[in-house]
Amino acid sequence: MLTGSQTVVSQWFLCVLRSPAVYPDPDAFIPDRWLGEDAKANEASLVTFSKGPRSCMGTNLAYCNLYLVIAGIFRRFDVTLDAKRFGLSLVLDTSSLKVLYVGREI
Amino acid sequence: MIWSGVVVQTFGSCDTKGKSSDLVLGFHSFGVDIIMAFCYAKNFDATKVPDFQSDIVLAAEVSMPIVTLRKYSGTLVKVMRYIPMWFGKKFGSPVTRAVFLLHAVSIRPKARVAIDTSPPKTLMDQIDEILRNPASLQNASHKIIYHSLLDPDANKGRPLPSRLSLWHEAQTLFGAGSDTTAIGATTISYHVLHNPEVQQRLVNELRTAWPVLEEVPRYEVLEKLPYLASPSNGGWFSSSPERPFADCGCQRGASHVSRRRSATACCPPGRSDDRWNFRSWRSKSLVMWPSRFR
Repeated sequence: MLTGSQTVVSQWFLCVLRSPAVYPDPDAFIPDRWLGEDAKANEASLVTFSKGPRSCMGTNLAYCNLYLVIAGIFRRFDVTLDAKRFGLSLVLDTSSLKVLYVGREI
Repeated sequence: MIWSGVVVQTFGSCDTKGKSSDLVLGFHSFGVDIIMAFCYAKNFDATKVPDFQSDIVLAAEVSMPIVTLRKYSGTLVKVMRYIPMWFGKKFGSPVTRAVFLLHAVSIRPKARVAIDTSPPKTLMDQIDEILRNPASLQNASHKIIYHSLLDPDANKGRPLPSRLSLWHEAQTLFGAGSDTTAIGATTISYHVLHNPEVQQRLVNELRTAWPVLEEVPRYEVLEKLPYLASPSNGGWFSSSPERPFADCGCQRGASHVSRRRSATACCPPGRSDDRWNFRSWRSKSLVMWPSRFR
């Protein structure tokens, strides 16, 4: 490393999020892990936005976006995957997550 | 709530047309419109483009592999300024074409892109106008990033950022504020849609807190819903491995700041082989594949 050079070093958050020691069964999508007795400890280790004074400045905006759009879509519509465009494969190309919507009456 | 209403209405229009919607592009368009309004007091109206096929979103989706090169290569930027748009769009790889589009949105003053708003139409146009007339900041509907970036007190006596520096800041915030939430929302939706029990619990909670469709609850109500927050946390959690880092040329295994997808991080040492090739990540982008990190 050259004298006077500026190098940004940070821990890759995946090391934490994918660690079985921190999150049992880390590859599984388990919403209840955020609701039970361990919720507070789990959230303390949620470093997706990093932690501390240098954490992501957009954290609140990101959560705001997510809550609004996820709540809006799943409350207003009965959403299903479009099997014609996207089957039940676990392999998902993010360029084609096609879904069908049916508006809810109530 | 206005923006979420727009994207939800747009998704809903697909219901009547009997065709499916592309969630990824929809969420990305939503993110673009949010960040443009929030940070720049500007509107791209990406959510209003049919099928969310706006140039800016399509360009951002595929141009990430060389965004760092574009940012740091002054020569490339100069060359792109003088190559006709039709040439860039017609020839070259999809990535090349996308980069021309993205470049056009961010710097070209007369680009033919899907922007339906009053001038200035591009990020660079806005910067130029503010530098030319700092008083124009007063016309912004709210405090935007340039209020702080060009605030002498905030810079603590240091020189104010240059025009190029401001452009870099603008692009960074644009990407970091739109692509990230789009991927998060996509991942959450993916998992919710593949877990009917989770979906039902989520809908039940929303029905309770939001009993009448026309009476949309405030954000303060939504953010306190435990199960809504739960998949969201899970989505961030689960979306983490899908962020490839090494697609922008990390060959030395040293600390290298990448802006691909939702993270800005240092690429760990010794990760510069083919396993970190962007295309291989992209093709299996949401597969749980922990061994890729070993």
